[in-house]
Amino acid sequence: MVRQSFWTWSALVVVIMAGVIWGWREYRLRRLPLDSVLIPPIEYREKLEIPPRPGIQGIVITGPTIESLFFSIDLTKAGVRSLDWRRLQAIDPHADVKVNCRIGDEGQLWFSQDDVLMGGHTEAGMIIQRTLKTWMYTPFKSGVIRFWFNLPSKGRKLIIDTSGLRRKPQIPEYVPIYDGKIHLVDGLENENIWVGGRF
Amino acid sequence: MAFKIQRKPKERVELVSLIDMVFILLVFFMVTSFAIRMPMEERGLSIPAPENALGRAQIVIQFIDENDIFWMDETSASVVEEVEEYFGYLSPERLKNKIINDLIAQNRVSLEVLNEKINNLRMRAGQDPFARFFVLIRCPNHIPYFQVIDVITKLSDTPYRNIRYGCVGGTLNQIRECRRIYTVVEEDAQGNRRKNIRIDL
Repeated sequence: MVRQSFWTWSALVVVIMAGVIWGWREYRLRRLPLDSVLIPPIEYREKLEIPPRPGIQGIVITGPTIESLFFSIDLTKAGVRSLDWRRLQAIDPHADVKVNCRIGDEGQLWFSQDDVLMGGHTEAGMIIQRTLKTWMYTPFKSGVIRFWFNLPSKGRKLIIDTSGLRRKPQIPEYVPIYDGKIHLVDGLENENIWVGGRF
Repeated sequence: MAFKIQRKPKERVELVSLIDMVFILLVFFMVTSFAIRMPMEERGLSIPAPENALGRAQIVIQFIDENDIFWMDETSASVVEEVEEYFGYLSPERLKNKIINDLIAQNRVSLEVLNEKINNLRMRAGQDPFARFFVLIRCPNHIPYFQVIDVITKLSDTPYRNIRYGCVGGTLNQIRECRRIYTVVEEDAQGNRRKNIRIDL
């Protein structure tokens, strides 16, 4: 009787201890991600389709970042001057001057006397010409650019027609060119300037 | 005559052997659970799991021979772009060959130069904790594996551990015989547009 009791108690103690340890281990394992707990049986290994490793089908080597370009007046160039709108208004408040220009390959602004249509507003026209001659652009676009300085207008006092500008063919298509500041006029609010309009 | 009464030995639970057994069980379960857990913690040193995707890397190291390595990084894009621009009139096969030959001519390095390049990369990675690099190491079967391990050890040994790597078997001839090699404009994870080289094997 005593012997039977001994083995019963021993077995019970072992079972309880094993249960506690097994429970503790299960608790630890359940906190791990599932894929690290479940190990597929060896017999399934041959049936599994092994997916191609990266670099077997093809390789993509990361290249340099493509920097965006900004087409604008190049303020790093020496001698670039801004147009003083208040002075222009003081000299000739009714001035109506159109200038048809061409931006060259290096970004310089070209126009001749015939390209300036000032219609009697000579002094204002001369001030505008002198200022425009100093403007240099970043060399990303070239072609025709037209300026219309219409001082008496209510609203659009300066219209810049950029429809004749083309991006330079040397610049690859994937490089984006954004328009920056393409005029330099002091004393005129942005709401009175329309860039991109045709006239 | 004195009779000696034989007494039965007193039966009791042998705690010593029981405790031994329990501790052996405890140690066994602890070791097995740690053995499962450790590889997950050491993931930084393990080879990335296979996935059905292109190998994307900033740097590709292709072992050609023991002292002959083909190294490709972001500067290689300009070589490919230049050939595409000036030799675009060639047939696709000849254009591909021209690109690969030019790349190999300009980027074939010795083991010594490879170590220099790896040191430069480690320096870059060590200066910027937010930079992330992935190096793809391709190695043919005949190269002693310790060379790859040597490279991996150097790549792993950075202060911020921001250089990851993948190892695949592969030869230079597989790159030579690729279907196509070309530049492609893609956006990276940060939204930057990049000019990448793509090799379709």
